Amino acid sequence: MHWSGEGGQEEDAIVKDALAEFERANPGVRVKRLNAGSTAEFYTKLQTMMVAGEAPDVFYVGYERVANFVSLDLLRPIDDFVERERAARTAGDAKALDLDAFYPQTVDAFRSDGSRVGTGPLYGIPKDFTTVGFYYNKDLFRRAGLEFPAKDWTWDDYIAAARAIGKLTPPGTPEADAIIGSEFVTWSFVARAYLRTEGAEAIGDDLKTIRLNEPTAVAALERLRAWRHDEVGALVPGNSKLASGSAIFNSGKVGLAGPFGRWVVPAYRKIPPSSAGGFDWDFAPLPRGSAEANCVLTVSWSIARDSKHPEEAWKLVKWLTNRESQAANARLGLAIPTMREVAEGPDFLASDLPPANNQGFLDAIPEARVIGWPADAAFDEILGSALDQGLRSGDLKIPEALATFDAKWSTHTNFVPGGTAPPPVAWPLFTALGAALLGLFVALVAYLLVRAPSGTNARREERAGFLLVSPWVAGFLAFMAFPILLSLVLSMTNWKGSGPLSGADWVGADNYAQLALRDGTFHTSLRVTAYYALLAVPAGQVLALLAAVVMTQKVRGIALFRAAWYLPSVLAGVGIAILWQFIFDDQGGLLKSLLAPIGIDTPDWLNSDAGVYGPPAFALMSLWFVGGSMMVYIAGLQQIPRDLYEAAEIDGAGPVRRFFRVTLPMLSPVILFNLIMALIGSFQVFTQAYVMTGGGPGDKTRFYVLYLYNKAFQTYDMGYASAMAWILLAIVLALTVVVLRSSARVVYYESLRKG
Amino acid sequence: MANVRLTKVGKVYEGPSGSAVRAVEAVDLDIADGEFCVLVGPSGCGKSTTLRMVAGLEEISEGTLEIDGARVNDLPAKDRDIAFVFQNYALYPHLTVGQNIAFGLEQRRVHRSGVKAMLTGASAARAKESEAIAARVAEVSRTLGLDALLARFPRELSGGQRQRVAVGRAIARDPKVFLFDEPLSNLDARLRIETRTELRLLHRRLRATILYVTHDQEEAMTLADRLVVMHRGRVQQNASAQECYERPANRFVAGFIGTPPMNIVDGRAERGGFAANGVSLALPARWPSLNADQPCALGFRPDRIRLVAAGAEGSVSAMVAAVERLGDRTDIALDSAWGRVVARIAADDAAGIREGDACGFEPDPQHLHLFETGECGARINPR
Repeated sequence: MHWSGEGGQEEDAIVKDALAEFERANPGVRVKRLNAGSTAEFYTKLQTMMVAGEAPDVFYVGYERVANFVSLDLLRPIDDFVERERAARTAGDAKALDLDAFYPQTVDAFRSDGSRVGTGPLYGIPKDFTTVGFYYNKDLFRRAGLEFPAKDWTWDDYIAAARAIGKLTPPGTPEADAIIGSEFVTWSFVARAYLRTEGAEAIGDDLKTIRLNEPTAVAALERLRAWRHDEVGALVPGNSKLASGSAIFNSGKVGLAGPFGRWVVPAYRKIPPSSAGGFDWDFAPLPRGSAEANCVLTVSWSIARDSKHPEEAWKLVKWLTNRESQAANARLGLAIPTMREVAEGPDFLASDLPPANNQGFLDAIPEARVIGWPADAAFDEILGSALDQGLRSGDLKIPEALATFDAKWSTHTNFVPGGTAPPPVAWPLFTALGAALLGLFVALVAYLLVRAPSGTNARREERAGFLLVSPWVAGFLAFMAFPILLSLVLSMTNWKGSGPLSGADWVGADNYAQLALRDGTFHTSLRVTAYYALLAVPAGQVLALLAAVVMTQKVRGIALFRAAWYLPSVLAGVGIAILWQFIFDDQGGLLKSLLAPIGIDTPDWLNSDAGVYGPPAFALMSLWFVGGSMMVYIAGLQQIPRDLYEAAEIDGAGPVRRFFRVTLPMLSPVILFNLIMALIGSFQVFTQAYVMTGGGPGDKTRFYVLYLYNKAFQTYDMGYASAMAWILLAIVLALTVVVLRSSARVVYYESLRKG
Repeated sequence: MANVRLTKVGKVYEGPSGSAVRAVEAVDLDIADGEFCVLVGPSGCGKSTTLRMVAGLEEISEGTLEIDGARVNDLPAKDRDIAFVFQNYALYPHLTVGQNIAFGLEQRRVHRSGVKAMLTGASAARAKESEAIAARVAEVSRTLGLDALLARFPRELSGGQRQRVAVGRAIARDPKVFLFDEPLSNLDARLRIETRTELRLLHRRLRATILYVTHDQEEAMTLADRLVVMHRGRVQQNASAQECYERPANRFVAGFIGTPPMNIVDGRAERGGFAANGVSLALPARWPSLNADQPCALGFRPDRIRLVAAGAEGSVSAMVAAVERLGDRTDIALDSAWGRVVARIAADDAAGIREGDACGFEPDPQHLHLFETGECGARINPR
């Protein structure tokens, strides 16, 4: 049996022990752990395993995925098992599972009828959950002469406290030393919990009606935006990606941080107490607005629809959610046990470690409800992006952000590829076509063999040649040609990337039409990418060529400089992206700190000014990778005969004219090659954007391939993403042809031709 | 046109670990206006380096270079008013024949294009200049028979045509001095001989001062008004081709000039003769400075040998090792006590000679050369 889960090191250690004990208690059952540990791509991996028919039997499912997974038919309903447990219990089996022992909100989070949550069959047993609130720095509260937050504190109390703490350092204090009232993260689920405290909602219980435009919701969002952007010192300003998040609290210079759940506790417990040079801290539940509200964020152990060992899987689910497992997790402090008895018992409440106010998490439970996520995974993407623009980066006002959300969401929901009843994909036809193509290929090879020159030697050589390349040809057919052609077929289907291909429907050119005519995000991604390419390609090539010219000078130690220039090209992309995030950051980033003292005001590259400066920032960063092109230019330069320079020198051409009259023409084929490679590369920007901005704010740095990735692996519109891949191919091909054609007159080819 | 004078010119390279490597040492050379001077020597002898120093492509380490009486050591190549023809022609492959020939003229335009020219109304002057360049290119290409090729690219030309374009590019600018760096070595043997003659004719027509480098002594002798034989960075002899052939200044020149090379035998002087390996030869008593028993080398050219019957009086006994019949003449390799000796005799006289025959040979006493010992042993002059 296979198990897969996500979680930090400590949590994983507990699960590992629990699994080992489970194996001991159940001889004959072996559990294999897949992809254990903390990973940002957990769900992508899970989905990939499911598509491949290799889904783990038991895995971890967050509440936000339930409707989505149920709609994709990935989970096994477990009502039959629950019913059996109930019967066993009635029959006196004290060890049978008692669903009533769990907090009802956490159990309801895993009921879904495929479009709504809270009703319908049960799809998992909650393993733990959390409510949210603010973590506060007791020392700063004392310094500001503030009372600690009361159990029933309000948003007015909250902002008053933030303002008071923000005033502990006078305005104009350098950012590194300033004390800030509060960090208020703006993740979409947190924002939705916040909305509830003012009686507002993002989406109705039917998971269809969008309620964001109701006055209460707009007012609440406007207030949060104003706090973040208009009040110096009260809240962390929105324009830093690095300064935002839970880690900022560790610095001791932030009064309040949240709304976070229980998950930050293990990290915050590493903060030394006030007496040891750190500071004291505690937890306060979400403040009240017009209503008292909170959210339940929970995770279940669920069973795969296609599990081959459902009985054993159920046993494991029970095992992982039993009293002992819950108690062990409770002691870790990471989350609240879902079993009321454990939560209210000493394992959770009576810890020596902070926070003292464990009861605060439980106090919020009566008013806490699960946040419902529509089955369509695009909802979170689109909402998150709009809220990010309105609340964090602030490049859109709240009404604009909401309008953006409405436009994108309606474009998305109005797009029903293939209409209401699309026909299934004619797989037999395509299989036959594929077989025909393969047959044609084989026939061609056979024909070539038969028609080979009649000399025995020549024919033998020809046969040997075909024989020797056959592994590569076979590999090409299996691993390149087949997937490429398959993606062409998929681009005309609505395949969701889960379940077998046979479940896909034929939608014709609908994906292409939607992309070409209606998908504004796609058009934006094209604009962003073209803007970037227009800057990065010429600038990169000029720099690479100049560097190559410098690097071919005969200077002592030049090899060292060459290596230094080439080095970034071999470094890991993600690491470099993070490095550049520090360089471009608006809160004390390297560029800003270097240029501010000499009076140069840098834009907020990747946030509020990203519309203009985002792609240029990436282009600037791309200049770091010119080493590869440079090496090709160096090789090209070394191919130019020295006589030509000497001849030109004697003919009276100075260094500059030698460069333009000899070097450039002689190098023109190399320049063309590098230009085309750079052009293709510029349309494939992904890692940097994925790590540094995730495409945001809004879509201002949504590069083509990033959007393709979003569609393929975040909203699982595989058919749509395949169509994008083919459009990308067409664009790159067209650009290459244009460049090749237009260059024929200026590129001198002799060095490539023979004689 | 102009004369070129090199005074104690030397080239020192920095060798590995800071040691100095002397590629050229104390070269004195005075090339008269309109003279065809050929630097010849084996590869690595410093001839090309000397040429490149004259061109300005290499810095002059020591000594003085004057062109037309003016010291030009520190003048950049482009200001020395010289033209250079490279071994592999160095034609600009991206330019047509016409553009190649015009390249140097274009670089030396007085009237530039551009905004400034337009503002100052110099475009008329520029157009006139363009006409002049076109006329010059036409003239040069007519001279060299390149008229039909002007629009072609170098890759579309044969080796000989490329060579002519390279020459055309050189003469277009009408420089003071022409420098040629082994310009014929990339041509096949027949074409090389034809082109050699053309160059000679061209020189006569242009009356140009030419400094020409080659490793081919035959080419050197046919072209040169003055032959400068170099070896190990030094000038070995600086004289007319005929002089070098008839009166080689030292053993190196003797061995280098002439085909097949001069036979040179190491031995020592005897009273009234020369002995090597126990075999003596009477010498006409014409070397007054020669002391008895002095080690020396005797040289005689292959065509200055007479073959005689084995054991003839005053001859050296030998055996025929190889016979190379060249039509009008025959080269015969002889093994003797003096080592391998080559004799070149008229074909008629060699008709009966077979490999393995025993015979004798006699160097022509009127055409003997004596040298001091050593690779560059000086000529010992007869009276």
